[in-house]
Amino acid sequence: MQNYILEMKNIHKIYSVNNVTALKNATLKLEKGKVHALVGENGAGKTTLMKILYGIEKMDSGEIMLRGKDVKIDNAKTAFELGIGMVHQHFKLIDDFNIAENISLGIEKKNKYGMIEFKKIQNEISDLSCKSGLDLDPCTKVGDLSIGEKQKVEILRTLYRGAEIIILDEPTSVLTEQEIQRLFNTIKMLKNQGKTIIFISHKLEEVKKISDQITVLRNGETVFTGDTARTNIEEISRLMVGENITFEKLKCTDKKGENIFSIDELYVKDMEDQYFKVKGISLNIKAGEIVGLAGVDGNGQKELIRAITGLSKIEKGSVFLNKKNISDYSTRMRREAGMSYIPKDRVMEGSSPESNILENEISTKYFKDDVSKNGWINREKSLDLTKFLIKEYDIKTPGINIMVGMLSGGNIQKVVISRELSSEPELLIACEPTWGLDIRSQKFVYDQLEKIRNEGKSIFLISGNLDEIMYLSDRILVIFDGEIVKNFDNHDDLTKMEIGKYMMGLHIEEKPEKECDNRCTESTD
Amino acid sequence: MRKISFLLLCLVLIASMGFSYSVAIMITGEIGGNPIYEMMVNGAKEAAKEAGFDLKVVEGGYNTAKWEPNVISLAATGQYDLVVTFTEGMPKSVEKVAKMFPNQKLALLDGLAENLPNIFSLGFKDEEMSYLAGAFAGMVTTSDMPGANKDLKVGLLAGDIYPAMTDRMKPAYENGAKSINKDIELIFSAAGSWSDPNKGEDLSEAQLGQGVDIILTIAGGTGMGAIEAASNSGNYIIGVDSNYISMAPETILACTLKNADIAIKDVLIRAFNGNLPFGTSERWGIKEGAIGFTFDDPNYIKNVPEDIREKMLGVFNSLKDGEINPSD
Amino acid sequence: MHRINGLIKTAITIGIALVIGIIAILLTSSEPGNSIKQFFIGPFSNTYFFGNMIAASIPLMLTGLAASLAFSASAFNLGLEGQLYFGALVGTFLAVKMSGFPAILAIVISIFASALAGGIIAGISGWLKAKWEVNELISSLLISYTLVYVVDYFLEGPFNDPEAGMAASPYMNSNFMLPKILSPSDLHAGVFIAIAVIIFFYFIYKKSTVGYEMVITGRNRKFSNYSGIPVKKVIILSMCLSGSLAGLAGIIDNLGIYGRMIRGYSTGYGWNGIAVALIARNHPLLVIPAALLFAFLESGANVASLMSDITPEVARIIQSVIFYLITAEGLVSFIGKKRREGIKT
Repeated sequence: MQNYILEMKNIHKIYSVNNVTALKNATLKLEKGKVHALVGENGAGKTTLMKILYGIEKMDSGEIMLRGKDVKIDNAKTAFELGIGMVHQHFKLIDDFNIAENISLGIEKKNKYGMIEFKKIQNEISDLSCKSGLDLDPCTKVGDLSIGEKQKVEILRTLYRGAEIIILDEPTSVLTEQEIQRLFNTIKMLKNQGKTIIFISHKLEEVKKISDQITVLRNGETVFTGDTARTNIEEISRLMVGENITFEKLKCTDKKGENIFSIDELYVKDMEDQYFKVKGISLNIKAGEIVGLAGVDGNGQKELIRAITGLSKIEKGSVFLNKKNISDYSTRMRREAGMSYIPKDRVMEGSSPESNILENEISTKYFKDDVSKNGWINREKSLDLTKFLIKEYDIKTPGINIMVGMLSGGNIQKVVISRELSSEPELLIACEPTWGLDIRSQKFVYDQLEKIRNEGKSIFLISGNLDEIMYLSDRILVIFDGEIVKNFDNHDDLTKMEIGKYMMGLHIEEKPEKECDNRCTESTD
Repeated sequence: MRKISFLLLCLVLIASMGFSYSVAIMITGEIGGNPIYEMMVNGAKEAAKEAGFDLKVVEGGYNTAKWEPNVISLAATGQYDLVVTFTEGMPKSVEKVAKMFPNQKLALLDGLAENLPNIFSLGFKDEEMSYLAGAFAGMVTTSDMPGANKDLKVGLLAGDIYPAMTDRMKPAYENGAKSINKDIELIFSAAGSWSDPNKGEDLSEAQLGQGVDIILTIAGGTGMGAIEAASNSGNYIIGVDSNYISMAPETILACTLKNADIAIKDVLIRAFNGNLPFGTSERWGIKEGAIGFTFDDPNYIKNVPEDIREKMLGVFNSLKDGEINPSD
Repeated sequence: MHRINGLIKTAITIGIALVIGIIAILLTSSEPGNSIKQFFIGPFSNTYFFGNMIAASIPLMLTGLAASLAFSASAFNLGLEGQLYFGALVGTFLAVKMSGFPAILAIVISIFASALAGGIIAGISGWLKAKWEVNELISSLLISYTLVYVVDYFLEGPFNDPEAGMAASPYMNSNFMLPKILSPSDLHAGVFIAIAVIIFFYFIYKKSTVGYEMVITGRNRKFSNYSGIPVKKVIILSMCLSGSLAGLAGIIDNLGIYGRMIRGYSTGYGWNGIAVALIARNHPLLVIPAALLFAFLESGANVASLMSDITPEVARIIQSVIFYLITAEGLVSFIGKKRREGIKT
């Protein structure tokens, strides 16, 4: 028998809420000091398996052995006492606290008078941060950190709590290309220190690059475990979905028409109405054109989209759709004028999870004659429409009265897309349309976008996933600090690194690695 | 033996159900903290004990809208030979219930209802009470007592403005004061609340500031503020309804008394004996023993000069004998 | 499935509350058997008490509907108490002044005026929310508290009946009173108005575009904004409708039972209505049984204090225990639901 640090054997889990089998016979075996990738489509059970390991969910049957001993993990506290740490996809940090406060939160060391010993904690953390190579000043406020740095804080927190096994749940999904590189360096460093890493992802290139071993889950079952070096991407991809799916870059079409959509010198303030987040952006999109907007999160994308869709106030400048100035239009009037919008947050903004599919499908047209009359909703017409869309967009659901929140991520996105496309828009604004989706759903979304582009519609694509932007766009705009800093034609020789440079701000040069001394300096507060 | 005692018990039960007279009292408010209602309930209990009838006391609480439904409910149960309730707010309700349940006997105390065949009502001669207080106030303000000043002004603090106040009590108080010296002026204020001591204090301070040196308070809890104000400035208070001089013996010189216990006891015993004249109403005053004055209170005797006490006794007896008409 | 779970939970809570009530009676009553019997069976023991119980449920049905309507649109109208009281004042004032009018006309005008007055008051909070982002929960509560004093002032002063001997308005023409049912109990034809209104709003809620807007806005305001649903209009409208129903709840007692307006007659109607909505989980039809439950507790306490040795204080304690338990349960599941929504990604 091989020497595994952790074995999860024959794990079964059925969710009682919707009677969905999340895991059947899932098995995961980790060797000490290795990076182990856990891959699978959305809903394949990766997150559930990790939640069981971290003590957040209970398994129905199966066993967990840690260093050869049977263990029972009932809650997160037990998990981290056993040396298991998890970095969640969504960070659980308090912006107003500094790094040291965030890391020690809940496990503060106290002196005999019950006072928290901040100095001691700070020193411990700065030592740890130097030793692990995670180079952080413990006195920096978390709110001032970039996303990549916040992730480091999360990792440091698991180390501070003594983690030997670190679970990274989709760690790259929020990072830029450069930040991903830095994360990989961190992972390698941790590995060299003897830590065991579980790396969850569905981006297979990354998996191939960073992991030593791979476990593939499909429909809650472990279908493959093996050394990364001896597999290839196509094989894993086939194992994940059961069929081969590859993406080819869309060919640019020549039949671009006239300008459908344009923005002129647009200025927008942030949500708190304090300072400008969009600083004089102008752009235009032609009929039959996909324009991609690349940029690191927080550079004004959100504010730009909200202003275009009528969800926040325009300070200065105008928006034109089909030559009409729609700057003063309400969201409904903009939609009536031919705008559709796939939002980034498909659950909390793009749908009403507590409502059924029908209620979700009619939200943009319940007042129109095709679904209602004299203020009363026509049940039959709206039912017909919903049935049609379920069929047309292949929405997988047990029934029409199912709450949308019960559907899988991909199917929720299909509900959103079907609604947005069924109004036959002139302009589609698509924000992170495949974020968190598995390959099959991703393919579906790309096909839909391609289809309407070929029908001569305009698409404005906003995405943090550069691959996606490069696959789909005819042109690529880069947004940095509220301005469009570059307009690329999507040539075949355009590289991610080149776009990435603009995303990080051309004029800002790479900082030289500073010496590792993170002792607290009082001035930082 | 067991059987016999069981039978006896049954008999007693049947007897108590079938033959005993039973009375329900609906208190318009709550008993605790209200001396008049405490007196009423005590009087009723004494009557029940002496005559041997069942007594049920129901508190109506402070939601005035629930009082009438409570009386209706008591009547609707059909269990009580007599339903009793109180105050000037209830005549309309009692009349309504009397019409709804013509076989239900009702008694209203401290208020006068229409003379329907199944209602007996008994009011108090509030004007005699106020006249007594007015005469006493007049004597104090014209005296050289330490808390009295040169101004010929007496005060009246009312909880609210209502017919009995404006038509009977206020004029009688004025008449009583003017019977001592017709130049005496009355300063009147109404608080609009029976439970707002802060407002009572403010209004009393205003009166005292205008030269008033003695205030009659007919204001419930609001009157507590008046006692505070008068005690701070070293002036005087006359209380009503019950004797609470001991609360502030230096400030509260005297109280006029409403002997509600005597009245209710008399009414209930007459009802039990079958000789309460339903269809009529009575008004009780000094002569009937329903209105009194704190002549015997040791603090009164100590703090009020003898000549005033003598004169007060004279006024009291004149009212009793009908020699004075307080409303004139 | 969820709804059935919820019902079972509510049933268990009510059960626990009743057991606590029984214990309270056992501790304080010298004849606990009779007291318990009177508390629980009393309201059904004769048509008089039964009628009173149904009559007590009428305003609660309407305030319950008012609360659930606002809540389902996520507009937190906590000002029912004042909207109701003010609406009733306006309606009663008109009814008293319209003495010579035909009864039907006077009743209709009085009811509509009350609903309008309540609706305007609540609408102000809705408008403040839509226009200036003023929290409607706080503004409606504060406006309501102030209004109670304003209305009290009118009942004690300008609109007081000097003959009443208490803070109450003059009587309206007795022809204006709604027809009695099960006389001499308090029950009146207003019960049919309340049920009709509930059924009407049930259909609005389920079938109309306005109802759809409210439900969707209530479940996810972000999604509504995104979809182009006029969220501000929906919030103002649901506050207005909620306030109107409160106004209706206020006038119905005066037209049905009192024939005038007595200070403080409606104290608690608004808050109990909120509890009713919580028990009914904002479902318009479930408001009816929830209101009956509250009316039953109210009447049980009342009957027990009349027919046994329980003092009204004890009766009130039992009622409060039940009220708090049920409200807490309702609140917990309500907040729980909101929190689950927050967690979902």
